[in-house]
Amino acid sequence: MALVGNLKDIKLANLVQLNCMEHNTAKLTIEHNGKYGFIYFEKGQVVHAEYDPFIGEQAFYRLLQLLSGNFKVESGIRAPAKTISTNWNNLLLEGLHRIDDEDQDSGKKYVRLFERLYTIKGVKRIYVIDSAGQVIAKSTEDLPNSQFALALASYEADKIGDAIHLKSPQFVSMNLNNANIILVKQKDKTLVLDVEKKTRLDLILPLIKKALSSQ
Amino acid sequence: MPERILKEIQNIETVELVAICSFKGEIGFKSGNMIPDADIGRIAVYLLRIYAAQKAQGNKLISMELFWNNHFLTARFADGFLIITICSSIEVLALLRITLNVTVANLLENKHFLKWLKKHSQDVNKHLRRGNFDDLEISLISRLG
Repeated sequence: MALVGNLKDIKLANLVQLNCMEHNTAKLTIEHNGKYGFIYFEKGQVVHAEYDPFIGEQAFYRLLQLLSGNFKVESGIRAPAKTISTNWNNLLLEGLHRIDDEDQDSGKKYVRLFERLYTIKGVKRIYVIDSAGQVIAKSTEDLPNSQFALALASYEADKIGDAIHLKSPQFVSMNLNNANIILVKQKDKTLVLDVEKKTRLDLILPLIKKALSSQ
Repeated sequence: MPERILKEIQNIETVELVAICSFKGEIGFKSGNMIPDADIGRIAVYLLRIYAAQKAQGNKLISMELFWNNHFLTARFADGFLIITICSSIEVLALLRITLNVTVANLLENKHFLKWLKKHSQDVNKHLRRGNFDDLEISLISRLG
């Protein structure tokens, strides 16, 4: 029987570790926003990985960065090719080092925050825009093309605060016909969370607050 | 009649202000004196810019909520007008949302209100073309799809 789940609930690094320590021969499939990635294990070693357009170690490192996506582990399936010969321990360490290094880059410093926010039920997409509407960090590639309208919303919300003699609002919730958006102002940037339509704000806002306070 | 409908919202605990504004940004009806009319007008224009910007993206903004520590502003948009409310308790927001939906439906059946609405109708997109904009607003509006 295949093991299925979502990377929101278990990190890919832990999944890899589990399969390697159990000396498994298996195929791990990850589906992230309609794009598929594969990692193959043979007798507890990672021997092959694919994540279009990458193959081998590069594909493995890219997959390791994913914070969400459905996965499936199928036992007994052998790799179609052998593109990785590095020991799984070193492979995992190198992958995690790369994530840490990228965290230091401006565009990636939100990775940990996104990771925490993704644990909140109902959060679909997260991205950060600056005051000019430029996307400076994102959790997925498939963003709606509305960053300028959202930057304007964030800016006008501040002006509404001024008009009531209050500061910037802590949260701005926008109920659109096709989405539910929560804006959180962070200095000169705005964190945008695309949440499921049925999400209850009274439940989700305290969790977002908690995730932000751990920054 | 609209005044009576507004009272139903204001009777919700901690609601301090209720105002109906046309898409021109003019206040039609108001209950509560928390904010001067001129500031309500400004708030309406900011909200309508947000609404118009979303419309330019092909989205329909139904409602919007702004959360501060002890104050909560709700804007409920409908065809040609919006209702702005300010309250001081997060616990009443769920009730407020439902009441606002009912109020919108009631208003759209009220002849007196519809007459006022017709008189003050305006294409909401004008809020992206006319008004006092600073450089950032001009830049963001120019980049809308």
